Amino acid sequence: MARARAGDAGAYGELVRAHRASALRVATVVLGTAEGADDVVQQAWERAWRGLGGFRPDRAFRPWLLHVVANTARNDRRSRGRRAHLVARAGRVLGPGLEVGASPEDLVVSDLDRRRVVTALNRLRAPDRLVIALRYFEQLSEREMAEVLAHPPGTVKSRLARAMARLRVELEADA
Amino acid sequence: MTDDTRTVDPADDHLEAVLSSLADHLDVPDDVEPPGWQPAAAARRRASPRRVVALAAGTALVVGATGVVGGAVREAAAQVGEWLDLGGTRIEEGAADPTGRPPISDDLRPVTPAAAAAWLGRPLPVVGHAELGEPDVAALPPEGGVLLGWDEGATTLWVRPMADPPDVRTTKVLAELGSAAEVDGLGEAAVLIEDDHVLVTPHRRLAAGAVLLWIDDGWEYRLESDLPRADLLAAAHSIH
Repeated sequence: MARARAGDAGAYGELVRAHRASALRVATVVLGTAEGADDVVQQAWERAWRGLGGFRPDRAFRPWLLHVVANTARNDRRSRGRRAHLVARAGRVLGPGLEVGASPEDLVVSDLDRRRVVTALNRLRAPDRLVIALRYFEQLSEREMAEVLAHPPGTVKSRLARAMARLRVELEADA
Repeated sequence: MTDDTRTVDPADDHLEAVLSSLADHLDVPDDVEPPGWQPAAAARRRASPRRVVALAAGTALVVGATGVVGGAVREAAAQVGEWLDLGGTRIEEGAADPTGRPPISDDLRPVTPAAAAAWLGRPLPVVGHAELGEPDVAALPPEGGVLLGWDEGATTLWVRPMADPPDVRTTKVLAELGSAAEVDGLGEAAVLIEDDHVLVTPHRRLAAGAVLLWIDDGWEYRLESDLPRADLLAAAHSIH
């Protein structure tokens, strides 16, 4: 981090590469589609690089970076008026084009389960999708979610509860 | 072996397990330009055609939470041949013949009033107007939000939370943009459309009749009814 803040682009590259998957997921969730998420992440990386001087080194880097990604994606969606349409892939994705067989988790969660939940997620608003994704996809704590969303932790907690309530209603309506 | 006939139980920990597993299964781009970007590449992206188009569209008239649809505004809209925006609803001119199209009450998923309130995260709106009273049905439209329905006057009230940018942009296609009339004293901004027209959503193209749209305290309301105009307005004002 110190090298990146000192202007070492290579060090910054290593830093953001470690969070590439999270950045792509957050961009996809906010956009509502994988289309253009790579472009958004690239823009966010550039914005974060330019804003690195304002980053407080005593804070965690990942929530700050995801905050920039979410804002960049939100601005992009505002300008393009996207339609939400997330897609769940079958199989576990390790990297570009890589998949493996069933993991222990896959023994209790089926691809059909995931498709049903993604269908319900697609019916939610982007802010609801994002708060759920931060909690369950990225496994962030409430404090980290608060940093990404720039809201007090109490507000984040209530927003997550409301988003989960909506998701449950959507699933019940589909059942 | 997983039982594929089982539904996701939204009330137990299984939902959280499914959500947690999605991180590895969400379809995201397989590739992204590695760090160490070239400034020239960033400049090319900023000048890409779709971005230029978006900027041009952004110059059009937008009437949202901070605006009202006044006469001067409507005149300006007509001059630039653009549209009006009220929350997530765009009002524009176009092919407005609704013949053969279904109403908004088509293709809904009925839910209990409690589930509808849970979706909204607030109590259901109460319509105090004597002609309506308790809704006959509550349902989830595919565009999000909650739709309440009354047999009386084939009335529907669609309530959805506002978002910036809108999550789902709906478009009301009118024969004449000038037929959208400002309504004073209802929420932060309100528009009445009395002519038959077409409502376009990302999911459906619907027939729409007399409808009152307004935004209030972070919520968008859409009240459509065959009731007389005075009753439509009275019903809207009675909602709390």
